Amino acid sequence: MTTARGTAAAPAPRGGGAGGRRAAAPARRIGPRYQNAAWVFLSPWIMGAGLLTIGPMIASLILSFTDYDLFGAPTFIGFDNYARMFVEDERFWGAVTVTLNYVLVAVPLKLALALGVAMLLNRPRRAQGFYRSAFYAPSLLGGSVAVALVWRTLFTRDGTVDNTLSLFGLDLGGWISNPSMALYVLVTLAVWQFGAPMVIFLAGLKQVPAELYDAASVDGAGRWRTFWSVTWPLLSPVIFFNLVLEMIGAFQAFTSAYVVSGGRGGPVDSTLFYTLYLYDRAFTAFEMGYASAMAWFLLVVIGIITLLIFRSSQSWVHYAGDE
Amino acid sequence: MIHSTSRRALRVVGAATVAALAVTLASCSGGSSGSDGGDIELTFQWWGNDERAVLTEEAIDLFEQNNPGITVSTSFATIDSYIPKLATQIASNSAPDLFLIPMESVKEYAEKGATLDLAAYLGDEIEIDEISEATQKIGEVGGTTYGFTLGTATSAWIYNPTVWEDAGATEPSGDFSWDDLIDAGEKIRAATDGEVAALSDPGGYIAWFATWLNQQGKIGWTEDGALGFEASDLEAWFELMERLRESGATTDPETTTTIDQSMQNSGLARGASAGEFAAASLTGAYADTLGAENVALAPLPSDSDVLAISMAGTNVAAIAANSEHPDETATFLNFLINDPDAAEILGLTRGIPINQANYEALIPELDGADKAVADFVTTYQERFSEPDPLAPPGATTIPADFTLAYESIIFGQASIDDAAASLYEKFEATVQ
Repeated sequence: MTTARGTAAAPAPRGGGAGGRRAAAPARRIGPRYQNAAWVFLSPWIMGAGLLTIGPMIASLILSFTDYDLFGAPTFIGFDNYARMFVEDERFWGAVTVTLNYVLVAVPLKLALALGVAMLLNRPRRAQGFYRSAFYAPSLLGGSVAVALVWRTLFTRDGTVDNTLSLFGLDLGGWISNPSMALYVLVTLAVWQFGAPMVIFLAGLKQVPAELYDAASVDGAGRWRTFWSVTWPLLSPVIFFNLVLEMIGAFQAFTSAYVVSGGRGGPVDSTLFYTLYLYDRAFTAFEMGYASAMAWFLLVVIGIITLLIFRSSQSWVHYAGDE
Repeated sequence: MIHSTSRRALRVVGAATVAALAVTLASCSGGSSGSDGGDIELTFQWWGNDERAVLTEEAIDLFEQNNPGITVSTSFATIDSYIPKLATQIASNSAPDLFLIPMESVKEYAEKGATLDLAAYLGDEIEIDEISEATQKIGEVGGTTYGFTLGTATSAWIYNPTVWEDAGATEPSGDFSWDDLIDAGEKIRAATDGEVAALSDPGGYIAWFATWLNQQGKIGWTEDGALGFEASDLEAWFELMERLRESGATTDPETTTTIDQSMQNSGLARGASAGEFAAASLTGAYADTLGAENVALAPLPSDSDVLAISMAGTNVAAIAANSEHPDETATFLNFLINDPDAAEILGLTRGIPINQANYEALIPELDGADKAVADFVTTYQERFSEPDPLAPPGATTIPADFTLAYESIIFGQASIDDAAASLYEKFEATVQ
């Protein structure tokens, strides 16, 4: 690329940073010929995004207004899918409740744990690298079916957790087979995978100027005071970023529930995540139109909640530089 | 010159992009195996496990030897992922030449025109002399043959005779009532410190409800697709199940909900129960876990003379309506169901071979679990009944709804009356 441009520009600049800078300057003179080249290089991405993301999204929006069983031609039914979703379908609202519960519990717990561990690992100590890797490892395994299977085995009746708690006289039985506890097995699985936000928090903590901590300790601030007055405000952009990301991820959680409940969302729909029910409608009941409507509702809800978090951020997220 | 350089660059980049995309797309269609040379390539898709894959490949090697110029590539998946995969393929007109259809979807796919009418091949490429009429019917929809099952199986009560013996309980047989089960359940609980139930709770499975319904002389769906039972029958079934559960004969709710139809979650295989209603074709898998001596088969309990078990298809192998090589595919299908050597290789991996002569030739060679299945069939064959008509399209979610309704009862979230009433509404919706 650079060579091609070099040949084209009248005084051929060669090598070094200077050439790069000079090549960047006459940007306005780059003609349509080079725009074409840009399009060519962008084309894999454009084709990917267009064919594999935007195209299917538009198709699913259209399908959400149809009755489509995958085999016959879709028939247009207006807003019937949406009406059925909001008015008739009890399992839909069950799935919404389960998912909201999961998001509201799992996300704050995961972020709190990630932040807590990040702060511990931020202090210089021996084998620091080892600890960071060790705490990050679960996130690498996290989305996999294998770990969900391990979780299933741990929390099943007469599984490790049941037997261990029984030793201490807490006879709770199998968590995954108890409708009021099964969801929290999935919450623990999610919280355990706190590595990704933790790494981001660690990076954020490194940015907090040490002199602020020195100043705080000179002023006699305790740990809590230091945390709330120094760490929290300076870290708030990172917290905000993690919150949005984890919230979206939690709404889309699927694999863990699918594996732990054997694809059914049981017992008694207690782990029927929104995405799991969507999948069930699409690929078990072959109600593609209805599933598309569900997908769009989820997109809108995530959009609204993200927007609300963005709005609220003005009151609690502190960016360095603005006062 | 500049112009030509960039044009050439453009072309090169364009070609590279296309090549890259082609590679990506080609790799999407991976996951199949066994194609080399040959003029015609057939694709065959089925569900099952690795053991079945080995036997299937072995049979295919033989077919390719016998039919030079034809190669068969196969792909398989477990049943859970197979169903959506096949549905997607059929919807996008990219179904393999030959594929297995789960029983509950046969009618749907045939009526949607996804499968080829085999009339032209019957008695020609596909021999049917050694296939009983009842078996032929398994692949028929509305009087037209769309396929053949690759094996028949019956449902059975698979139990661990050692546990029953140790408890001094009367073992299941063709003359065993639901009340006998309560007695046996008490003995087994007493002999195992209350740890083991006589039976994994069958209440949430529509298959066992349908069997019980047949025992009452009723039926799930009639030939015309109407319902053959009342909401009160659902209530009666749930009440019977409650009686069993409360007596301790069946597993408690928390155990029941962890049991599904996979072997690793089986109550019998894990020792939570001393018996389970299952497809007899699973006997081998139970024997692998428990040891062949700890596995025996019996019919389900019945309060009447009607056992209500039948030889049913385990799948239907059908040819895609848009297959490019229907004749060769028909030859291959014929090989799978009628070739004696293929039958010997495949054994009982997909159920009992439907070619009667092949099955009879196989019987003396059977041992272990396969022999137990064959013995069971021989013993009770006289009392088998006709299989129920296929469920109507639109009933695909009924099994899941049934399980959900039952779970809501056992976890005390709904009364039997309410659960039965709302479940019956779902049944009614399938016939509208």
